Amino acid sequence: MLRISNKIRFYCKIAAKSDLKSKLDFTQLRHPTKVPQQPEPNAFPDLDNNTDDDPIDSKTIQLLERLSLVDLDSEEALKTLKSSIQFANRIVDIPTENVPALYTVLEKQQLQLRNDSVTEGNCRQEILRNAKITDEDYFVSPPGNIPLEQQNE
Amino acid sequence: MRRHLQFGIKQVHSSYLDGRLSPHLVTEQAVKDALSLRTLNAFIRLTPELALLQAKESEERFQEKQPKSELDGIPIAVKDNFCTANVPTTCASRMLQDFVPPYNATVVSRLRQAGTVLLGKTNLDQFAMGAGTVDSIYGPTKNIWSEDLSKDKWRIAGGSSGGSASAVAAGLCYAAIGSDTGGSTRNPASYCGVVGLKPTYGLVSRHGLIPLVNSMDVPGIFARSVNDCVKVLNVIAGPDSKDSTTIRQPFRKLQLPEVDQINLRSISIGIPKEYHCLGLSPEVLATWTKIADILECAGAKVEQVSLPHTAASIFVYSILNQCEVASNMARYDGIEYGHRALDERSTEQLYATTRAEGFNQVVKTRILTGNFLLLRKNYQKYFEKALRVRRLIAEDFSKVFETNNQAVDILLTPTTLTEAPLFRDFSALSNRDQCAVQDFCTQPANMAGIPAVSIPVRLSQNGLPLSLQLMSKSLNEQLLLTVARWIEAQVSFECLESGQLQAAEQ
Repeated sequence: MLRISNKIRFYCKIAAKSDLKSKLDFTQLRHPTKVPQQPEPNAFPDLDNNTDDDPIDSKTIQLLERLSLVDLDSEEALKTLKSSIQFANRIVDIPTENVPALYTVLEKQQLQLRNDSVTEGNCRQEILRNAKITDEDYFVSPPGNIPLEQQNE
Repeated sequence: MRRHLQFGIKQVHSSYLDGRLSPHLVTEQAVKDALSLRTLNAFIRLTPELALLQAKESEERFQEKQPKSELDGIPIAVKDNFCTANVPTTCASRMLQDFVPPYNATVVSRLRQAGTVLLGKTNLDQFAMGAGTVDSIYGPTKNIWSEDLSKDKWRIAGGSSGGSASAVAAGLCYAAIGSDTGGSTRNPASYCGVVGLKPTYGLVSRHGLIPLVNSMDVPGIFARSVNDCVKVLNVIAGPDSKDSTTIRQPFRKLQLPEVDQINLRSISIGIPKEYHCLGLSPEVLATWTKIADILECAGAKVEQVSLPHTAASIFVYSILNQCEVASNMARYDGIEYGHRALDERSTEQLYATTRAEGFNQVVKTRILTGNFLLLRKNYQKYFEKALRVRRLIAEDFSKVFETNNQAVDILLTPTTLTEAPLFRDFSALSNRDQCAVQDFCTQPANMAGIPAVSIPVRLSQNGLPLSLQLMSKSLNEQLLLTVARWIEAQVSFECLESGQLQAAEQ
């Protein structure tokens, strides 16, 4: 058996090089190129300077925090949120009359269905193993039906 | 005498068969190399005991002349957003830092059935949200091609599957699994100088891949050659009863012709003009131009085509990504699995604190933005609108691939706009801008569900890989990879030639 050593890699490089075809010359072309040599004009001019129209008030932020159950905890995050919304605004003027929404690229194929019967299971211990707190065979949560406390009213 | 050991999986396999190499020895070496190149931070977790055990089993199979497949005994790495039974799967997040799945993702179990050796779990941007592998709680992954790996002078590996790309580029494993939602496999493949395949949506099962954007996610493959990539695809592709979104028709294993048997005369290559966008580097442009030229020299029909909605795609992608993220991330509440905060005031309070502690700023902002875009008053304006424009983008592709007399077979474009950026330049941008720039050429394929592959072509002035992307129509992997293989043979890019690797070997 051959000993694998780091030298093999080195050897392979030499081996690969010895029969290397002449390196391509990237400045020489034989045909008029079909690749555009100038950038296509940008159909979506940069709107980032246009930060005046504030799309989001503090009530909306509170709603988003409740829906998301994450906190918008800094000025930086708020700035990112606003700029992401502006980013999304770039497509609102594209004409899409009579264009149906594309929910899935597999829309032409039927979704696979299976019989409604148990095929696997008996893995309670394995499932519960990943919970931080369990009680007998139950997951445990603190009291429900209490609204989230929100600061910055 | 050692010529057969040029690192192709095929050659390793035949060396296993005739006993010149053994899976155990190769795996031992891979573990050793991975440890000596720890500075790359390609792995979140190495699994040496498991790998050596699997290698030993593989070795026994070879001794009995009964290997399970051509991949038997081949060390492979898997991105840490694929579930691996009894091996922690973290998504590089605090939320899943202690999560130990009780089951294997289908991709992982198929690789196991083929006898591969799992070397470890690779690094990524938290929950795969990024284009640099810089937003991981385990720290960023470095690119083996960096001129200098110290301080902040190193190059990013790209993302979000940067760990997998880096591991393959550094020769630590023969192939690796990543995921690709908007370019997360092709982008790091491009920067790290390896082959990166995003298969047709639905060709490879996503069961056990922790979801990011369900309507676009696909498992991706990294390898050092197109041939190796095909071998992995042949093992993992095909219908899966555990993923109802897999394509139901049986998968026919790909078999690529030898390079000298490839005839390009009947093949039509399209150059979509919109892919020359602002910010494309002159070196990438020259690479794109030259490869189009050599294809034409070889007899392929090369023509310029237009995909008019390309520029809109990045905005649509951003909207759909954030909306699906907002929905997908709702599952993390701290009760059943994952991080749980010490806050027992109320259920909602527990959820909120858990999520505040478990997610980074990028994840939180995408959730908040997604929920804004999905508000009742915004749903039509943004979400529905984005889905309509998505159809226009997908139709652009079907027009160029299917218009009767002018149909093209393959589209040739850049993968990334530049060589791998320096970490310090990249991290100065916001996550949104990082992705908006880096995903320009890659995310349209995810919108349309079509297959795409990034292949390395040459080195830049700075000695960094420059790559190009090929795309084709759905389920046309055979032709896509045949053309990729042909280009690969013309350019003779050497995946393992990086200076850092040579330094590590001395």
